[in-house]
Amino acid sequence: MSSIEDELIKRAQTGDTDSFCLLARGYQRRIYLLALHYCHNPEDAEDLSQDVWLKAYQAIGSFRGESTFYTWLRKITINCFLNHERSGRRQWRGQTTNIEFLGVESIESEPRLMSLADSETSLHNRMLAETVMQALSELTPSQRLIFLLKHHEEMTYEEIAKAVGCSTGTAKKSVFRAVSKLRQHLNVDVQSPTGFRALQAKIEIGV
Amino acid sequence: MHNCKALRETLLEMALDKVAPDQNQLLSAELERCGACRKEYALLRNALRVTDQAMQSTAPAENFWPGYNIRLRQRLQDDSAVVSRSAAHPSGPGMLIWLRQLVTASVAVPVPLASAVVLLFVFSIASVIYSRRASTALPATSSPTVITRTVEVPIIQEKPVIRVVYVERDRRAARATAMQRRAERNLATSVATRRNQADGNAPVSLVGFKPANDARLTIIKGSYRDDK
Repeated sequence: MSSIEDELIKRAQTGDTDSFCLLARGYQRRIYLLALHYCHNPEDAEDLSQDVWLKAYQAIGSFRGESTFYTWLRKITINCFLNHERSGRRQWRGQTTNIEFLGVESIESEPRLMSLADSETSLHNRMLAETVMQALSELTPSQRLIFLLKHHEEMTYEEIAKAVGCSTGTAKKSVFRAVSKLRQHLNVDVQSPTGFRALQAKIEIGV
Repeated sequence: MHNCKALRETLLEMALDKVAPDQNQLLSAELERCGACRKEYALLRNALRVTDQAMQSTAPAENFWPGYNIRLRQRLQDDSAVVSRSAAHPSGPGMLIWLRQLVTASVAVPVPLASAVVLLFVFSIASVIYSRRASTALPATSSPTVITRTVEVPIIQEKPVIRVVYVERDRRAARATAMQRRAERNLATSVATRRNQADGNAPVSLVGFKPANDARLTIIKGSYRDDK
Protein backbone atom coordinates (compact mmCIF):
# COMPACT_ATOMS: atom_id res chain seq x y z
CA MET A 1 0.00 0.00 0.00
CA SER A 2 1.44 3.35 -0.98
CA SER A 3 1.84 6.01 1.64
CA ILE A 4 -0.55 8.37 -0.20
CA GLU A 5 -3.23 5.68 -0.35
CA ASP A 6 -2.60 4.87 3.29
CA GLU A 7 -3.08 8.49 4.23
CA LEU A 8 -6.25 8.77 2.15
CA ILE A 9 -7.65 5.66 3.81
CA LYS A 10 -6.93 7.06 7.27
CA ARG A 11 -8.64 10.32 6.40
CA ALA A 12 -11.60 8.52 4.83
CA GLN A 13 -11.94 6.48 8.01
CA THR A 14 -12.52 9.71 9.90
CA GLY A 15 -15.40 10.54 7.53
CA ASP A 16 -13.53 12.74 5.06
CA THR A 17 -15.58 12.41 1.87
CA ASP A 18 -13.03 14.26 -0.28
CA SER A 19 -10.28 11.83 0.67
CA PHE A 20 -12.55 8.92 -0.09
CA CYS A 21 -13.38 10.35 -3.52
CA LEU A 22 -9.67 10.73 -4.25
CA LEU A 23 -9.16 7.14 -3.16
CA ALA A 24 -12.03 6.03 -5.41
CA ARG A 25 -10.51 7.69 -8.47
CA GLY A 26 -7.70 5.18 -8.50
CA TYR A 27 -10.05 2.22 -8.92
CA GLN A 28 -13.28 3.63 -10.31
CA ARG A 29 -12.58 2.68 -13.93
CA ARG A 30 -11.85 -0.91 -13.02
CA ILE A 31 -14.96 -1.24 -10.88
CA TYR A 32 -17.14 0.51 -13.44
CA LEU A 33 -15.96 -1.74 -16.30
CA LEU A 34 -16.53 -4.83 -14.20
CA ALA A 35 -20.06 -3.63 -13.47
CA LEU A 36 -20.63 -2.74 -17.12
CA HIS A 37 -19.56 -6.17 -18.32
CA TYR A 38 -21.63 -7.77 -15.61
CA CYS A 39 -24.92 -5.97 -16.27
CA HIS A 40 -24.29 -4.66 -19.82
CA ASN A 41 -26.08 -1.39 -19.36
CA PRO A 42 -24.31 1.94 -18.73
CA GLU A 43 -26.99 3.27 -16.36
CA ASP A 44 -27.15 0.07 -14.35
CA ALA A 45 -23.36 -0.15 -14.35
CA GLU A 46 -23.10 3.35 -12.91
CA ASP A 47 -25.70 2.59 -10.23
CA LEU A 48 -24.04 -0.69 -9.36
CA SER A 49 -20.52 0.73 -9.24
CA GLN A 50 -21.68 3.63 -7.09
CA ASP A 51 -23.42 1.16 -4.79
CA VAL A 52 -20.03 -0.49 -4.40
CA TRP A 53 -18.41 2.82 -3.47
CA LEU A 54 -21.22 3.65 -1.07
CA LYS A 55 -20.82 0.31 0.69
CA ALA A 56 -17.08 0.80 0.79
CA TYR A 57 -17.53 4.27 2.28
CA GLN A 58 -19.85 2.92 4.94
CA ALA A 59 -17.49 0.05 5.76
CA ILE A 60 -14.12 1.74 5.46
CA GLY A 61 -13.91 2.00 9.23
CA SER A 62 -13.59 -1.79 9.34
CA PHE A 63 -10.63 -1.84 6.92
CA ARG A 64 -7.64 -2.95 8.98
CA GLY A 65 -5.04 -3.17 6.24
CA GLU A 66 -4.77 -6.96 6.49
CA SER A 67 -5.07 -7.14 2.71
CA THR A 68 -4.57 -4.57 -0.02
CA PHE A 69 -7.26 -1.95 -0.40
CA TYR A 70 -8.25 -3.32 -3.78
CA THR A 71 -8.62 -6.89 -2.47
CA TRP A 72 -10.91 -5.55 0.26
CA LEU A 73 -12.80 -3.45 -2.28
CA ARG A 74 -13.17 -6.42 -4.60
CA LYS A 75 -14.88 -8.42 -1.83
CA ILE A 76 -17.39 -5.60 -1.44
CA THR A 77 -17.83 -5.48 -5.21
CA ILE A 78 -18.55 -9.20 -5.45
CA ASN A 79 -21.03 -9.01 -2.57
CA CYS A 80 -22.76 -6.06 -4.22
CA PHE A 81 -22.99 -7.94 -7.51
CA LEU A 82 -24.36 -11.04 -5.82
CA ASN A 83 -26.93 -8.97 -3.91
CA HIS A 84 -27.87 -7.26 -7.15
CA GLU A 85 -28.37 -10.69 -8.69
CA ARG A 86 -30.42 -11.98 -5.72
CA SER A 87 -32.61 -8.91 -5.46
CA GLY A 88 -33.59 -9.29 -9.11
CA ARG A 89 -34.35 -5.59 -9.27
CA ARG A 90 -32.60 -5.16 -12.52
CA GLN A 91 -32.82 -7.46 -15.44
CA TRP A 92 -30.22 -7.90 -18.12
CA ARG A 93 -31.19 -5.29 -20.65
CA GLY A 94 -29.64 -5.74 -24.00
CA GLN A 95 -27.98 -2.61 -25.21
CA THR A 96 -28.87 -1.72 -28.73
CA THR A 97 -26.01 -0.28 -30.69
CA ASN A 98 -27.15 2.06 -33.40
CA ILE A 99 -24.74 1.72 -36.23
CA GLU A 100 -25.14 4.11 -39.08
CA PHE A 101 -23.23 3.56 -42.29
CA LEU A 102 -22.26 7.06 -43.26
CA GLY A 103 -21.09 8.04 -46.66
CA VAL A 104 -17.63 9.47 -47.23
CA GLU A 105 -19.07 12.94 -47.93
CA SER A 106 -20.93 13.11 -44.64
CA ILE A 107 -17.82 12.05 -42.73
CA GLU A 108 -15.71 14.69 -44.43
CA SER A 109 -18.33 17.38 -43.82
CA GLU A 110 -18.42 16.60 -40.11
CA PRO A 111 -15.23 17.75 -38.40
CA ARG A 112 -16.01 15.92 -35.15
CA LEU A 113 -15.98 12.57 -36.83
CA MET A 114 -12.86 10.54 -36.99
CA SER A 115 -11.16 9.48 -40.15
CA LEU A 116 -12.72 6.69 -42.17
CA ALA A 117 -10.14 4.21 -40.97
CA ASP A 118 -10.80 5.12 -37.37
CA SER A 119 -14.50 4.93 -38.02
CA GLU A 120 -14.17 1.42 -39.40
CA THR A 121 -12.13 0.35 -36.40
CA SER A 122 -14.66 1.88 -34.08
CA LEU A 123 -17.50 0.18 -35.87
CA HIS A 124 -15.65 -3.10 -35.80
CA ASN A 125 -15.01 -2.80 -32.09
CA ARG A 126 -18.59 -1.85 -31.33
CA MET A 127 -19.87 -4.87 -33.21
CA LEU A 128 -17.34 -7.03 -31.47
CA ALA A 129 -18.45 -5.67 -28.13
CA GLU A 130 -22.08 -6.28 -28.99
CA THR A 131 -21.33 -9.87 -29.94
CA VAL A 132 -19.31 -10.49 -26.78
CA MET A 133 -22.08 -9.01 -24.67
CA GLN A 134 -24.62 -11.16 -26.46
CA ALA A 135 -22.52 -14.25 -25.69
CA LEU A 136 -22.21 -13.26 -22.04
CA SER A 137 -25.92 -12.56 -21.82
CA GLU A 138 -26.60 -16.23 -22.46
CA LEU A 139 -24.82 -17.11 -19.24
CA THR A 140 -26.32 -16.97 -15.79
CA PRO A 141 -25.27 -13.94 -13.70
CA SER A 142 -23.10 -16.20 -11.52
CA GLN A 143 -21.35 -17.71 -14.53
CA ARG A 144 -20.81 -14.24 -15.96
CA LEU A 145 -19.38 -12.97 -12.69
CA ILE A 146 -17.08 -15.97 -12.35
CA PHE A 147 -15.80 -15.52 -15.89
CA LEU A 148 -15.13 -11.83 -15.29
CA LEU A 149 -13.34 -12.55 -12.04
CA LYS A 150 -11.17 -15.12 -13.78
CA HIS A 151 -10.49 -13.26 -17.00
CA HIS A 152 -10.38 -9.64 -15.81
CA GLU A 153 -9.38 -9.91 -12.21
CA GLU A 154 -7.09 -12.91 -12.73
CA MET A 155 -8.28 -14.56 -9.56
CA THR A 156 -7.56 -18.23 -8.94
CA TYR A 157 -10.40 -20.73 -8.97
CA GLU A 158 -10.00 -21.19 -5.22
CA GLU A 159 -10.29 -17.44 -4.60
CA ILE A 160 -13.35 -17.23 -6.85
CA ALA A 161 -15.00 -20.21 -5.17
CA LYS A 162 -14.45 -18.65 -1.74
CA ALA A 163 -15.64 -15.21 -2.81
CA VAL A 164 -18.72 -16.32 -4.71
CA GLY A 165 -19.61 -19.22 -2.41
CA CYS A 166 -19.40 -22.12 -4.83
CA SER A 167 -17.12 -25.08 -5.42
CA THR A 168 -13.90 -24.91 -7.41
CA GLY A 169 -15.44 -27.28 -9.94
CA THR A 170 -18.40 -24.97 -10.45
CA ALA A 171 -16.05 -22.06 -11.02
CA LYS A 172 -14.07 -24.03 -13.61
CA LYS A 173 -17.26 -25.13 -15.38
CA SER A 174 -18.53 -21.55 -15.46
CA VAL A 175 -15.34 -20.29 -17.11
CA PHE A 176 -15.37 -23.17 -19.58
CA ARG A 177 -19.00 -22.49 -20.45
CA ALA A 178 -18.33 -18.77 -20.91
CA VAL A 179 -15.42 -19.43 -23.25
CA SER A 180 -17.51 -21.92 -25.21
CA LYS A 181 -20.26 -19.32 -25.64
CA LEU A 182 -17.75 -16.72 -26.74
CA ARG A 183 -16.24 -19.09 -29.29
CA GLN A 184 -19.67 -20.00 -30.55
CA HIS A 185 -20.73 -16.36 -31.02
CA LEU A 186 -17.46 -14.94 -32.23
CA ASN A 187 -16.87 -17.82 -34.65
CA VAL A 188 -13.18 -17.16 -34.37
CA ASP A 189 -10.94 -18.57 -37.03
CA VAL A 190 -7.40 -19.67 -36.46
CA GLN A 191 -6.25 -17.64 -39.45
CA SER A 192 -7.92 -14.37 -38.45
CA PRO A 193 -6.77 -13.69 -34.92
CA THR A 194 -7.95 -10.09 -34.70
CA GLY A 195 -11.47 -10.51 -35.94
CA PHE A 196 -14.08 -13.06 -36.64
CA ARG A 197 -15.53 -14.35 -39.86
CA ALA A 198 -19.16 -13.45 -39.34
CA LEU A 199 -18.36 -9.86 -38.49
CA GLN A 200 -16.06 -9.51 -41.47
CA ALA A 201 -18.81 -10.80 -43.72
CA LYS A 202 -21.28 -8.28 -42.29
CA ILE A 203 -18.90 -5.40 -42.77
CA GLU A 204 -18.19 -6.42 -46.32
CA ILE A 205 -21.93 -6.52 -47.08
CA GLY A 206 -22.46 -3.15 -45.40
CA VAL A 207 -19.64 -1.47 -47.26
CA MET B 1 2.29 -40.46 -24.34
CA HIS B 2 0.20 -37.60 -25.64
CA ASN B 3 -3.38 -37.46 -24.40
CA CYS B 4 -5.52 -34.89 -26.19
CA LYS B 5 -8.39 -35.05 -23.69
CA ALA B 6 -6.13 -34.53 -20.70
CA LEU B 7 -4.22 -31.73 -22.41
CA ARG B 8 -7.31 -29.81 -23.51
CA GLU B 9 -8.40 -29.38 -19.89
CA THR B 10 -5.17 -27.45 -19.35
CA LEU B 11 -5.31 -25.55 -22.63
CA LEU B 12 -7.89 -23.09 -21.31
CA GLU B 13 -5.67 -22.31 -18.36
CA MET B 14 -2.80 -21.83 -20.75
CA ALA B 15 -4.87 -19.55 -22.97
CA LEU B 16 -5.88 -17.52 -19.93
CA ASP B 17 -2.13 -17.27 -19.10
CA LYS B 18 -2.71 -18.87 -15.73
CA VAL B 19 -0.17 -21.64 -16.20
CA ALA B 20 3.20 -21.60 -14.47
CA PRO B 21 6.18 -20.95 -16.80
CA ASP B 22 7.77 -24.38 -16.26
CA GLN B 23 4.46 -26.08 -17.01
CA ASN B 24 4.03 -23.81 -19.99
CA GLN B 25 7.22 -25.19 -21.56
CA LEU B 26 5.98 -28.73 -21.13
CA LEU B 27 2.64 -27.81 -22.68
CA SER B 28 4.35 -26.10 -25.58
CA ALA B 29 6.28 -29.27 -26.24
CA GLU B 30 3.02 -31.23 -26.14
CA LEU B 31 1.41 -28.82 -28.60
CA GLU B 32 4.32 -29.25 -30.99
CA ARG B 33 3.47 -32.92 -31.21
CA CYS B 34 -0.32 -32.65 -31.77
CA GLY B 35 -1.79 -30.52 -34.53
CA ALA B 36 -5.38 -30.80 -33.24
CA CYS B 37 -4.42 -29.55 -29.79
CA ARG B 38 -2.39 -26.75 -31.37
CA LYS B 39 -5.44 -25.66 -33.36
CA GLU B 40 -7.66 -25.83 -30.30
CA TYR B 41 -5.22 -23.70 -28.36
CA ALA B 42 -5.06 -21.12 -31.17
CA LEU B 43 -8.87 -20.90 -31.25
CA LEU B 44 -9.04 -20.38 -27.50
CA ARG B 45 -6.34 -17.72 -27.58
CA ASN B 46 -8.05 -15.87 -30.41
CA ALA B 47 -11.46 -15.99 -28.76
CA LEU B 48 -10.07 -14.54 -25.55
CA ARG B 49 -8.03 -11.92 -27.43
CA VAL B 50 -11.09 -10.78 -29.37
CA THR B 51 -13.08 -10.70 -26.14
CA ASP B 52 -10.43 -8.49 -24.53
CA GLN B 53 -10.42 -6.21 -27.54
CA ALA B 54 -14.21 -5.94 -27.46
CA MET B 55 -14.37 -5.29 -23.75
CA GLN B 56 -11.71 -2.60 -23.87
CA SER B 57 -13.72 -0.82 -26.52
CA THR B 58 -16.68 -0.55 -24.14
CA ALA B 59 -14.76 1.70 -21.76
CA PRO B 60 -16.40 5.11 -21.54
CA ALA B 61 -14.67 8.16 -22.93
CA GLU B 62 -12.57 10.41 -20.74
CA ASN B 63 -15.28 13.07 -20.56
CA PHE B 64 -17.51 10.57 -18.76
CA TRP B 65 -15.45 10.52 -15.55
CA PRO B 66 -15.81 14.10 -14.25
CA GLY B 67 -19.58 13.69 -14.24
CA TYR B 68 -19.27 10.29 -12.64
CA ASN B 69 -17.11 11.73 -9.86
CA ILE B 70 -19.54 14.56 -9.21
CA ARG B 71 -22.46 12.13 -8.98
CA LEU B 72 -20.49 9.82 -6.70
CA ARG B 73 -19.50 12.66 -4.39
CA GLN B 74 -23.10 13.87 -4.25
CA ARG B 75 -24.31 10.38 -3.39
CA LEU B 76 -21.71 9.97 -0.65
CA GLN B 77 -22.60 13.34 0.85
CA ASP B 78 -26.31 12.49 0.74
CA ASP B 79 -25.63 9.19 2.42
CA SER B 80 -23.48 10.72 5.16
CA ALA B 81 -26.13 13.42 5.70
CA VAL B 82 -28.86 10.79 6.01
CA VAL B 83 -26.76 8.74 8.40
CA SER B 84 -25.95 11.72 10.62
CA ARG B 85 -29.58 12.92 10.53
CA SER B 86 -30.91 9.48 11.37
CA ALA B 87 -28.41 9.16 14.20
CA ALA B 88 -29.49 12.49 15.64
CA HIS B 89 -33.25 12.33 15.04
CA PRO B 90 -34.47 8.95 13.92
CA SER B 91 -37.74 9.84 12.23
CA GLY B 92 -39.29 9.49 8.78
CA PRO B 93 -37.05 7.89 6.14
CA GLY B 94 -34.07 8.26 8.46
CA MET B 95 -35.98 6.27 11.06
CA LEU B 96 -36.58 3.53 8.50
CA ILE B 97 -32.91 3.41 7.63
CA TRP B 98 -32.01 3.40 11.30
CA LEU B 99 -34.47 0.58 11.98
CA ARG B 100 -33.17 -1.37 9.03
CA GLN B 101 -29.63 -0.97 10.26
CA LEU B 102 -30.73 -2.03 13.73
CA VAL B 103 -32.55 -5.11 12.44
CA THR B 104 -29.78 -6.15 10.10
CA ALA B 105 -27.01 -5.47 12.61
CA SER B 106 -25.05 -8.54 13.56
CA VAL B 107 -22.67 -9.27 16.37
CA ALA B 108 -20.06 -12.00 16.29
CA VAL B 109 -20.84 -14.41 19.14
CA PRO B 110 -19.03 -17.69 19.87
CA VAL B 111 -21.13 -20.74 19.05
CA PRO B 112 -21.14 -22.21 22.62
CA LEU B 113 -22.31 -18.90 24.05
CA ALA B 114 -24.97 -18.53 21.39
CA SER B 115 -26.25 -22.07 21.95
CA ALA B 116 -26.32 -21.49 25.72
CA VAL B 117 -28.36 -18.32 25.27
CA VAL B 118 -30.76 -20.12 22.95
CA LEU B 119 -31.15 -23.00 25.41
CA LEU B 120 -31.76 -20.58 28.27
CA PHE B 121 -34.38 -18.79 26.24
CA VAL B 122 -36.14 -22.03 25.32
CA PHE B 123 -36.04 -23.21 28.94
CA SER B 124 -37.50 -19.95 30.24
CA ILE B 125 -40.29 -20.05 27.64
CA ALA B 126 -41.09 -23.66 28.59
CA SER B 127 -41.16 -22.85 32.30
CA VAL B 128 -43.50 -19.91 31.74
CA ILE B 129 -45.87 -22.08 29.71
CA TYR B 130 -45.77 -24.83 32.36
CA SER B 131 -46.48 -22.43 35.23
CA ARG B 132 -49.41 -20.93 33.33
CA ARG B 133 -50.91 -24.34 32.75
CA ALA B 134 -50.53 -25.22 36.44
CA SER B 135 -52.21 -22.00 37.56
CA THR B 136 -55.18 -22.54 35.23
CA ALA B 137 -55.68 -26.12 36.50
CA LEU B 138 -56.11 -25.04 40.17
CA PRO B 139 -59.42 -23.34 41.32
CA ALA B 140 -59.18 -19.66 41.82
CA THR B 141 -59.60 -19.54 45.66
CA SER B 142 -57.72 -17.75 48.34
CA SER B 143 -54.87 -19.59 49.88
CA PRO B 144 -56.11 -21.83 52.83
CA THR B 145 -55.15 -20.93 56.43
CA VAL B 146 -53.87 -23.77 58.53
CA ILE B 147 -54.80 -23.66 62.26
CA THR B 148 -53.32 -26.26 64.58
CA ARG B 149 -55.30 -27.34 67.68
CA THR B 150 -54.60 -30.14 70.08
CA VAL B 151 -57.68 -32.23 70.82
CA GLU B 152 -57.76 -34.98 73.42
CA VAL B 153 -59.45 -38.01 72.08
CA PRO B 154 -60.47 -40.58 74.73
CA ILE B 155 -59.33 -43.97 73.76
CA ILE B 156 -61.76 -46.63 74.88
CA GLN B 157 -59.96 -49.73 75.75
CA GLU B 158 -62.38 -52.55 75.65
CA LYS B 159 -61.57 -55.75 77.29
CA PRO B 160 -63.55 -58.84 76.54
CA VAL B 161 -65.23 -60.37 79.54
CA ILE B 162 -65.43 -64.06 79.61
CA ARG B 163 -68.05 -65.37 81.92
CA VAL B 164 -67.54 -68.79 83.19
CA VAL B 165 -70.60 -70.55 84.48
CA TYR B 166 -70.13 -73.40 86.80
CA VAL B 167 -72.96 -75.82 86.88
CA GLU B 168 -73.47 -77.61 90.11
CA ARG B 169 -73.51 -81.28 89.88
CA ASP B 170 -76.24 -81.71 92.32
CA ARG B 171 -79.20 -80.58 90.34
CA ARG B 172 -81.61 -80.96 93.12
CA ALA B 173 -79.78 -78.71 95.37
CA ALA B 174 -79.34 -76.31 92.58
CA ARG B 175 -82.98 -76.43 91.64
CA ALA B 176 -84.01 -75.92 95.18
CA THR B 177 -81.67 -73.02 95.59
CA ALA B 178 -83.01 -71.51 92.39
CA MET B 179 -86.58 -71.94 93.42
CA GLN B 180 -85.77 -70.45 96.77
CA ARG B 181 -84.20 -67.47 95.18
CA ARG B 182 -87.08 -67.01 92.78
CA ALA B 183 -89.48 -67.14 95.62
CA GLU B 184 -87.49 -64.59 97.53
CA ARG B 185 -87.43 -62.38 94.53
CA ASN B 186 -91.15 -62.65 93.96
CA LEU B 187 -91.70 -61.89 97.59
CA ALA B 188 -89.51 -58.86 97.43
CA THR B 189 -91.32 -57.65 94.35
CA SER B 190 -94.73 -58.04 95.82
CA VAL B 191 -93.63 -56.25 98.97
CA ALA B 192 -92.29 -53.38 96.95
CA THR B 193 -95.49 -53.18 94.92
CA ARG B 194 -97.53 -53.08 98.01
CA ARG B 195 -95.37 -50.40 99.46
CA ASN B 196 -95.73 -48.30 96.33
CA GLN B 197 -99.45 -48.73 96.28
CA ALA B 198 -99.51 -47.87 99.90
CA ASP B 199 -97.54 -44.72 99.28
CA GLY B 200 -99.97 -43.74 96.50
CA ASN B 201 -97.33 -43.65 93.82
CA ALA B 202 -98.34 -44.20 90.19
CA PRO B 203 -96.95 -47.18 88.47
CA VAL B 204 -93.62 -46.59 86.71
CA SER B 205 -93.94 -45.31 83.13
CA LEU B 206 -91.55 -43.96 80.50
CA VAL B 207 -93.49 -40.74 79.94
CA GLY B 208 -91.20 -37.74 80.24
CA PHE B 209 -88.14 -39.86 80.07
CA LYS B 210 -85.28 -38.07 78.35
CA PRO B 211 -82.23 -39.88 77.29
CA ALA B 212 -79.02 -38.54 78.66
CA ASN B 213 -76.64 -36.75 76.38
CA ASP B 214 -73.74 -38.84 77.34
CA ALA B 215 -73.68 -42.50 77.90
CA ARG B 216 -71.70 -44.08 80.56
CA LEU B 217 -69.90 -47.16 79.93
CA THR B 218 -68.75 -49.17 82.81
CA ILE B 219 -65.96 -51.39 82.02
CA ILE B 220 -65.79 -54.43 84.13
CA LYS B 221 -62.31 -55.49 84.53
CA GLY B 222 -61.23 -58.86 85.41
CA SER B 223 -63.11 -62.10 85.27
CA TYR B 224 -64.69 -64.61 87.46
CA ARG B 225 -61.58 -66.57 87.31
CA ASP B 226 -59.74 -63.56 88.72
CA ASP B 227 -62.41 -63.20 91.38
CA LYS B 228 -61.75 -66.62 92.53
